[in-house]
Amino acid sequence: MAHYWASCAGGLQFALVKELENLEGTSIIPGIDTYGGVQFRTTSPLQKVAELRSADNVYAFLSHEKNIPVDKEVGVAFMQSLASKIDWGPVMQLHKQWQEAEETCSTSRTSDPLLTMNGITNTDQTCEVTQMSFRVTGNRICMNMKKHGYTSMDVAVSNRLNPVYAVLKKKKKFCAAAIGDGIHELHGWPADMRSYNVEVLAWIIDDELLLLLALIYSGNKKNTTNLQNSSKIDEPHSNHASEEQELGGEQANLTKKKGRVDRPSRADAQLYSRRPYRKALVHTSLKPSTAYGILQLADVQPGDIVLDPMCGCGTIPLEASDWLGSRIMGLGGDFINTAIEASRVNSVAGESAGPCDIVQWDASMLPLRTASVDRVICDMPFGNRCGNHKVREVLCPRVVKQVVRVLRPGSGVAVLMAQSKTMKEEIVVNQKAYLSLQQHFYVHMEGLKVDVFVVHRTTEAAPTQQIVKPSKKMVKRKRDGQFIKPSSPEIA
Amino acid sequence: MRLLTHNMLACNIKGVTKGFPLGIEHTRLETKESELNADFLRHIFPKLDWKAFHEAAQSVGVNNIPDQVEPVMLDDDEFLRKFHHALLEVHLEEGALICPETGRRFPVTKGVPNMLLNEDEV
Repeated sequence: MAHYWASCAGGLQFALVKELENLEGTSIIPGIDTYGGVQFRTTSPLQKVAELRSADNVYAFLSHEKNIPVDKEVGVAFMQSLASKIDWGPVMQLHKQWQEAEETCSTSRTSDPLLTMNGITNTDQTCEVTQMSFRVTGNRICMNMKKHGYTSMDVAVSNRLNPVYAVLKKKKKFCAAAIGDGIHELHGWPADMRSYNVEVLAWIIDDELLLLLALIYSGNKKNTTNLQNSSKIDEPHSNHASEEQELGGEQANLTKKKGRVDRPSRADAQLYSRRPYRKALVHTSLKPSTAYGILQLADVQPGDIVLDPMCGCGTIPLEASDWLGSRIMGLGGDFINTAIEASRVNSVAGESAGPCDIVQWDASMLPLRTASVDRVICDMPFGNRCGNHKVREVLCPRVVKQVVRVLRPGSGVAVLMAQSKTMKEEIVVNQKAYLSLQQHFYVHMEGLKVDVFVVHRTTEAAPTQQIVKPSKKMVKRKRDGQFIKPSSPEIA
Repeated sequence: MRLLTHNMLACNIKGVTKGFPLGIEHTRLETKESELNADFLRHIFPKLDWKAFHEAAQSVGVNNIPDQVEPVMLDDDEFLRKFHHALLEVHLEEGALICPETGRRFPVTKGVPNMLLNEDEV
């Protein structure tokens, strides 16, 4: 019976629960509501668990503590004691199973550089656990209380792990020392921020702590990890040279530029990064797991046209096609060239699953026939990395008007995600005759609270004059691409 | 772009009342085999503008689509195969879509139609 934690966007747990209920031999453990995710035990093989569509990621569950001390000294001592309270046996067993599954997937690799490396440093050790190196990544959030007495780093680092502390301090975003100290003491594993094979995650929200162990360490199978690090240690090893050649110039150059080789970032090593269509991203790409979650609300039927008028890199229509295959047709559009190019690349990559077409258009003046679409699922721009508030307050109501026009009266359903104060008014007041609001709730994504509206199209025929003329300023802005700031990194 | 998408696209230049169906000009077509789903085809059939679909199929060189269809034909496997091929397997990769009223050309590159309008058209 493996004990897991599956994470998802806060507010979309219902999709995850629904999926888990259909997973054989699974019992859901309720009780942790602060975090976006679900705790469960299952007897299903890990391949089945890895197929969960609504999960951002899955972790081995270590511990959950309520009312943790918040002042520094007691807090740090408490964290240090945590490691010894955990039953590591089954957890490491699970970790091993997942790593082995990953191994068998990557057939091109003759040996895992990580294992080779550790094998050489610990040649005589037979006990598996001692071959590990680890890191603890902490994440500390204050929602309702003032401040913790310790920083994220204090949680992770101690004097004994000084080099670790230096790295963390530089990054200023990770916590996890005290827990790391405890683990080090218990297992004798060395801590290593860069070439680790066990990552422990500590999520602290107010006085609650959730301790998890990462099971997925590489985003896609081509991502070879830690080659340069291991080369320092096992230079005479013959496998190594051939492996680096296999890697090809591109990745080698990339790693050189960065000046270091890391595990792929956490954002990359997610369950959803394995979707076949996830090849190219725009910097505010929606998570496929979130797309799946909101797709659940749309009650998609066979033969439906699923439209996303502002599709970014095409995640929503492509997730619909990937999930429902040839039963539906996905249609996505955007007006930014980079988004269209990303969508195109992704749609070619995901082509085998189901049909999905990409069109470049302006969502406030959709070039689609009236009443031609069955489902609209749209993640409208929000946050401050994609457009700005002022522009969106103008844009979003225009898009809603277009959605009203293209949806089939009587049967059409739209799921709209937005962070706009005027959206609700637009739906329940201005479009009252055409849309009936079925559901309105919030989803927490990347620290933002986003509105989700589920609306049904009424039988009322759409007004003929729905195409509204955007202001000259808007048109100019769009043409200049001012909606999206170029070349910022991606939020996965 | 598949012909199913073509069946939904319309020109939305300001003042245009008959922006559908768009004419097709092609310099490169591609046929990509895909799984036939009879259920999908039966559901999508009543949603199509058949006349526009028939004309579009002819303009990309698929001539075996009848101009008149009855719902009973959806039980015929042979017809479904032809229907599926024209609707979902033929891709317009390079070419243009042309507004029937104004003659405005919307270029299609790498299978993606660009339906963005110029400032004076909105």
